[in-house]
Amino acid sequence: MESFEKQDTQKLVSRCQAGEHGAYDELVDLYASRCYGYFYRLTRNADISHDLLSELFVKIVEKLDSFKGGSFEKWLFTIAGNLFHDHLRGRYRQKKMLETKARELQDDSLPRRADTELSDKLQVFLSKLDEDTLQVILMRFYGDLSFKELAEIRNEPIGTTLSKVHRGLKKLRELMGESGA
Amino acid sequence: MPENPEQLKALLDSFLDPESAGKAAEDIDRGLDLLRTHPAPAPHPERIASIKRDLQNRLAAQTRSSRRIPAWIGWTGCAAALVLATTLLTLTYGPQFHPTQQVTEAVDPAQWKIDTDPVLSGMTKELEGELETILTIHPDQYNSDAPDPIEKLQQELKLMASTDDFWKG
Repeated sequence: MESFEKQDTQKLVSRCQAGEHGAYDELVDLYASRCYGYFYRLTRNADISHDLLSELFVKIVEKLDSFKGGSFEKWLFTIAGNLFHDHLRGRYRQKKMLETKARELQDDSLPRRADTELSDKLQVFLSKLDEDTLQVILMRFYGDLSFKELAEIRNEPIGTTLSKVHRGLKKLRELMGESGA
Repeated sequence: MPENPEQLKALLDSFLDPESAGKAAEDIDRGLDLLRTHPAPAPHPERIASIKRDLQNRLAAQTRSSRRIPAWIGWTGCAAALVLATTLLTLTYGPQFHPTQQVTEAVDPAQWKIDTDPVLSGMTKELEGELETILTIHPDQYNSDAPDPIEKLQQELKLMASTDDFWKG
């Protein structure tokens, strides 16, 4: 089933590369939620995440001809990771992120809507992880990438990537366990 | 594509002892389960529609610009062909350039007459007088009928060679 999905992705990408405009809409439908989730968990801001998602698909249109096969997810999340780094470099956006984080901390004691309580709690605990660890965990989860692919993207030994993901997820489990979730 | 549980355990075994590897695999699995069970919010449908519209506009613009390139090349080719044809026709059938005729026509022949200018006619007469004086003093030098100096020298040398007492004077 998984390999069939992978073949489907390859065909879809080939259709985009062949200039079939409608195929891009399908690509957006296929990856928008995952990429948005990745950006949202990193930035903790819906507006910024939407902006980054939009920039990501523009980059895909511009660069898809340079994709020469292999794992499309690896290629896609490499671009997504680079976009997030570019975003971090932007002073204005950094300021916006800090304001959001400050607001989150202030609002931590306020009652929350029941349907978002657990998700928000997870978001608070995710923000306690260091940026680098958080990014590799989210790339693993939303990008559905192997440790080998993650290590290649990050240009580091696979043991380092493995250790970072393990420590990060262990800490997250502990935090969630302590909170009684 | 992420590793299946067996592949992940094997990978961890290569870095950790079996017990630690088992615990690490569980931490990773359960940790990712937390993300699965607490999903991030979905993107706003309007924003997704906006992204799709933007992409379609960009793709349409790309297509238009890629079609415009051959047209641009075509127009440039036509312009170059027109310039070339005009040049060839001009060179083949156009008016020929006659510099002498043009200069002659451009300057009034009356201006070339020295007699009309008293200064020029005076200088001409003076030069002619000087030339006459020189010809009187050195008639051979300016006389075209006089023997060539080299010929004259050759004759003298022949004479020296044939006559033994020439050097005695």
